[in-house]
Order: sequence, then structure tokens, then C-alpha cells
Amino acid sequence: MARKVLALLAIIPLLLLPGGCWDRRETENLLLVDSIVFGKSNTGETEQYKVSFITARPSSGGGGQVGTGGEGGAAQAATQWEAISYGSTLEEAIRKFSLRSPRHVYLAHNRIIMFEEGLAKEGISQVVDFLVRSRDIRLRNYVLVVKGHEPDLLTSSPQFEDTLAGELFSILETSIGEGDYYYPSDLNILAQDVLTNGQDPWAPFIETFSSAQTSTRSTSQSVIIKGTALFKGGRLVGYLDAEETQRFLLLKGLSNSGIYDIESNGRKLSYRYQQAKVKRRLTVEDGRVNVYFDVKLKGLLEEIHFYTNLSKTEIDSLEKRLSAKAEAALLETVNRCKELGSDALGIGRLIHSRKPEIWKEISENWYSIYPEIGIVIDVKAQIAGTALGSKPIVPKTSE
Amino acid sequence: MQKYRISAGQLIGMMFWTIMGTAVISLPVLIGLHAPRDAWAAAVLFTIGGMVLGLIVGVLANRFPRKDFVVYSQKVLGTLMGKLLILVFLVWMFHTMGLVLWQVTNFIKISLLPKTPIAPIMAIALLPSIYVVYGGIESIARSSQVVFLPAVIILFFLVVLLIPDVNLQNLLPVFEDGAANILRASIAPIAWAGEIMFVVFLAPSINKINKTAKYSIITIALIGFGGFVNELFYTAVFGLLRQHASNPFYSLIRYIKPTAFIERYDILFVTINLLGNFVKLSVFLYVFVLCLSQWLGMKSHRPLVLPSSVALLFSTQYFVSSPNELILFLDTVFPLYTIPLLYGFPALVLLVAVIRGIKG
Repeated sequence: MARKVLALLAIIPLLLLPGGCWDRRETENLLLVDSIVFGKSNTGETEQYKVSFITARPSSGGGGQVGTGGEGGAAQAATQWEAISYGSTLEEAIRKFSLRSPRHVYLAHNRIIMFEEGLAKEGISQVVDFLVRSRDIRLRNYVLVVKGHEPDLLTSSPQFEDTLAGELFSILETSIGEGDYYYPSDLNILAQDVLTNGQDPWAPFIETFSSAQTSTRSTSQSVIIKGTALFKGGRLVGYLDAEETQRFLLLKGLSNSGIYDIESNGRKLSYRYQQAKVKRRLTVEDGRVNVYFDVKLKGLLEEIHFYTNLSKTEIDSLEKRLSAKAEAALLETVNRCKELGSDALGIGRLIHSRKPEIWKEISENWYSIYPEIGIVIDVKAQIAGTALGSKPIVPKTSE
Repeated sequence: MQKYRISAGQLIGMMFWTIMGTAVISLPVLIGLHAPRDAWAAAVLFTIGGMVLGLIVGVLANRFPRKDFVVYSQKVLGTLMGKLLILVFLVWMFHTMGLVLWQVTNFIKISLLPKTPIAPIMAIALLPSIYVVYGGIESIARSSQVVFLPAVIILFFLVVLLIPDVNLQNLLPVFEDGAANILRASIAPIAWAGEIMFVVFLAPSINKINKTAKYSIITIALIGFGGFVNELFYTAVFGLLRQHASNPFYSLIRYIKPTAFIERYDILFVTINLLGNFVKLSVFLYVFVLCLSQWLGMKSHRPLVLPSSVALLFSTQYFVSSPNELILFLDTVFPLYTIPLLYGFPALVLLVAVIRGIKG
């Protein structure tokens, strides 16, 4: 009996535990940040970090402009709330939110990290280091570069989702495979590229159109993924447009679909590959390293506005011309990367992984050697057939 | 004295989590310091070290069946020498138990309760272990058996979910870190593998005592395989970034792509880690109090459970002051005395017993 009583007495303190703890955080007291934008500001005497949070407003309401200012925020959609904070260090800038946020800033649900162009040009290494060490931030966060100035981003409004971050997230998640005009890179990939010798970072970049601009422009999108931002070391050096990005991703082995158009008898055909295999190999001749990309594409002729039964010879000829066109386009993209001085394709890393002894010799002067590396691209485009299920509509001959 | 006999499954369950519990938290960091790309190779050396020790332990258990290590080591080495070495072992046990408790609670603090002071977390983490150790080997064996399989299955499931993010290029070039760095990176894992030596204390309770070596080797092989897969995944998913994560496995689990079905997997890992470390702390505490009671010539270990735990709770506060300090200590100092003690002590007893022809 005494033992039972003792056991019971031992259990009672355990009942105190579910009651609460030091770390109790009620959901309604959290500011669930959706996306963070990092930038730099020169407004003060010294250069400061500028950190902006885009969050979903937990309760409906809002509407008009609410207090904008130095450490201010503005609400222009019913559910989105943005705020900017400044600090000489990133930690200070984030902590300063407590001055105006009635809730605890909670970053564990953040989905998108954006770098303003100005900061990206100066270097993202410190911010990446800060983010990797941050307890709450997940490495799965998507990363984007914002071309132009960040205030544009904060004044543009989402078209379909509640918040801009939600909209960007949906674009990044759902549009993949539709031509591979971008690849949703995340913090893990970016941080690895910042760290790894012979592999420069890259990330999709967005351009924004503010509400005022959208009414006068033909586009109705407020945020557009325009291509890929390329870095050298940790600094932004330039951009690839959507088409260049498609080829860039193909060479990196991250793309499986893309489109090339080609002319046949003066009429345009559209070829869409849906399978892509890229084999990368190295040769060393007289101490000179050559990198070969053997690309195999397989796809269909998607768009033909004339009726024809393509003969084997015609298909062979089309395949040859397609291969040559793709080769030229891919080489152009490689040269663009070289021109910018960014090894985002990871040529150095390829040499490092396949020929470590050569990499040891050239790694120190890699950026001066990189433009001289010979790159040979061999494309074999295969046309599996046409994607037409029935005869196309052919316009009547008027005369 | 101990009537309950533990089965093979129970022993493997106990020893698996005794080694894996903190290995999964700290070893990736320690290995990554020296050989980030070839980290998987450290798991191979861990397995070799652990298997050799498992064999020594098995031979000892066969030579002295149903005899307590504390008793026969004194018989073999002489009372004074035996008592002295056991005392050294007890000091090591107590200090290491503190380090284990600190690692476990620090992980809970980082992952779940950042604002809670470490002392109450320690007390709560230790409470279930105190309870089962008081219950004796049967309680520990049965609870290990319950924990083992679900925890391993969940761990396997989590690793499978990471397959889409694996980039094998990150492992290239193989052996680039160099033999010296790989060996250096293997020192801490080899020290961890030394904990298989605890089987000598549990051996009198094993139902098929002649299979002790086999069970120990199976345990080490399982952990070695688990470590190999984990290290491979850390590097394949994170590349050189693994060197910068303070909790690589936790970061790895947080990196699993959310699905519509489950969005966050962190809690699964935190739960199994807690369960695994409950087993680890229980086995440590049990071996400590059992060893101490036999060293003091007591009939039961029970009176020592509570005082030892209270002493542990108080002293652990002073063992470690920061996670970085602990990592540095585990990397540089800990293996220096752990490897000679855990490998050398049973090997010495076996060697002298063979030379002197002593059998149990």
C-alpha cells in the first residue's frame, strides 16, 4: 500500500509538466513570416543591412496604408503585411522588428529568401552564413534574387495568392517541367555553391512590376521569374534570360524539357524535347583540359501548321539541323557564363571530382584559367515523331 | 542474484541505442571536421574497431561464464590493480554519462525548448532512466526491445525520403581527404564503438552466453551500416555544408521535402532520438550503479540509483559550458583516454587471464 502511495506521489509532479513550460508559444502570438528579403541601404551615415519580412496577416481586415516610416510597415492587401527593418548587423536588423511587431517573429515557416540586387552584387556569403546558422530557418527555403530595387517588390501585389511569398512559392512549385525556364534552387544548394571551390552560386531571379506599373503595362503579373542570376564567388555578376536559363539547366543536368524552333521549307516547326541526358567528360591534351558535354535529346515535333508525312530523310535532316542549332545555342550560353566570369556550370568542380591531381594545380588560379578551358558540346537530337493526334488545320489557299 | 536472462534481440536493442543515441547527434560533426567528403570511410573503421572489441568481450564472457567482470577482473589482475582499474572506469563512466546527458538535453534545448534552462530538461530526461534502472536489467531490456524496432524503422523511413535529394557527385573525388585525415576522423567513432565493452557487465544476464561475441558483432555491424548510410547521406545531400551544421542529422531531417501528407518530419526524429537516448542513459546508469555496487561489495544496485542520479544532475552542470567546447573536447581529448580504457581494460584482463591460465 505504502509503495502504491509513493508511486502515486511520484506521478503527481509529472502532471505539472503538461500545464506549460518556459517555451510556451501560442500560435496567435506568432508572426509567421512567409518570406524574407535581404538588402543593403545607404540612407544613413553608414551602410546598413535592410531586412524585410512579408507575412500573412492572421486576421482579415486592414486595407489602406498603415504607418510607413523608418522602421515602418505598410499594408495594402487585406492579408499581406510587409515591414522593413535596418541594422548594422543582420541580427540587429531582425531583432529590431520586436520594436514594432506585436508578435514573436517566427521564421520556421518561412518559405522564400530573397536577395536584393544591391546586396547580391556586394556579396551574399555573410547572409548565407547567417541563415545556415539560424535555428529556425530551414535549408529547404527557396532562394531568389530580386532584380532592381526591393521597394518595388514590397509595393507589388499578389495576383492569385494571399501573399507575394505565397504567389512566388506557387510559381516555383507548380510551373516546373513546363519548359524548365528556371530551377527552384534552395538555401542548401546556394550555400553549398558559396562554399565549394569550382562551383559558383546561381539562383532564379525575379523582376517585379508594382501595382501602378501593371496598369500601364501589357503584363498583368506582378512578379515574374525572368531567368537565372549568376554569381562569381559570392557576388552577383549578371543574368541569364529565360531561354539561356533553359540551356544552362540542360547543361547542368537539371532540365528535362525545352523547346527549339526550326524552319522547314520556309515554315516553322516547334520541337519539344522531353527527355534529356547529359554526359560530361574530360580530356587532357598537352596539359590543356577540355570538357565535353554529350547531350542526347528525345522529343516530338509539337507544333506543325502544315500537313505532311515527314519522310525518314526529312526527319534525319531535321534532326541534324536541330542538333546543330542546339549545339550553337548551348555553346552561346557557356560563353555567356565565361564572359561573366561565373563558373555556375561547375566546370571547376567537374575537374576537381574527375581529375583531382589537375585541380590541385589549377585551383588557385581557377578564375584566370576558366575562360581558356576548351568546351565541346555534342548534341544528338532525336525526333520520336509528331505530337499531332490528327491532321492540322491548314489554311485554304486564297488564290 | 540476477534471475532474468536477456535475449539476443534485447541485447542488440540495448547496445544499438547505447552507441547510436549520441553518435547520431555528435559523430557527424566530429567526422566532418577532418574528412567531410570521405566521412563514410570512418564508419568502416568504426566497425572494424568495434568488432575486434566485441570479439574480446565475447571471449571473456565465454572464459568467465555467469561471472561479474568487476569480480573476475580483480581475481585476474589482483585485488589492488583490479579495484584501481574499476575505479578509473567508474570515474570515466560518471563523466561520460554527464557528457551524454548534456548532449541529449542540449539537443532537446536546440530543437524543442530554446528558452528552458538546461537543468529541468536534464532532470526530466533522466527520470525515466532512473525508474527503469531501479527496476533492474529486465526493465531496461524490455523497454529497449520496445523502442528498438519502431525507432529503426522510422529512421530508415526518414532516410528513404531523402533519396530524391541525394547528389552522389558530392562524394567525389573519393579518398580526396587523404588517409591521414580519414584515420583522424575515425578516432572519435572508434572511441564510441568502445562502448560495446559494456557487454562484459551485461554478459552474466545473457541467456545464450556463448553467443556474446556474435551478438556484439551483430550490434556493431548494424550500427556501422547505419553510420555508413547516414554519413553517405549527409555528404551526398549537404556536400561541404555538412561542416557548418551544428546538428547535421536534424538539419537533414528538416530538409526532407514536405508532402501534402506530412509537412514536418522533425518531430519524428526528435522523438526517436529521445527514445534512443532514454535507452542509452538507462544502460549507462545501470552499468554504473551495477559496477559501483559490486565494487563496494553491495548486494543490490538499487540503493545507489537515486544518489548517483542526483550527483550526476548536479555535476553535469559543470562538465560542459558550451556546445563548441564539448565538440572540441570530444574531438581532441575524449578519445585519448577513452580508447585505452575501453579497449585496453578488457584486453588486459583477457591477456593476463590467458597468461595466468585463470578460468571462471
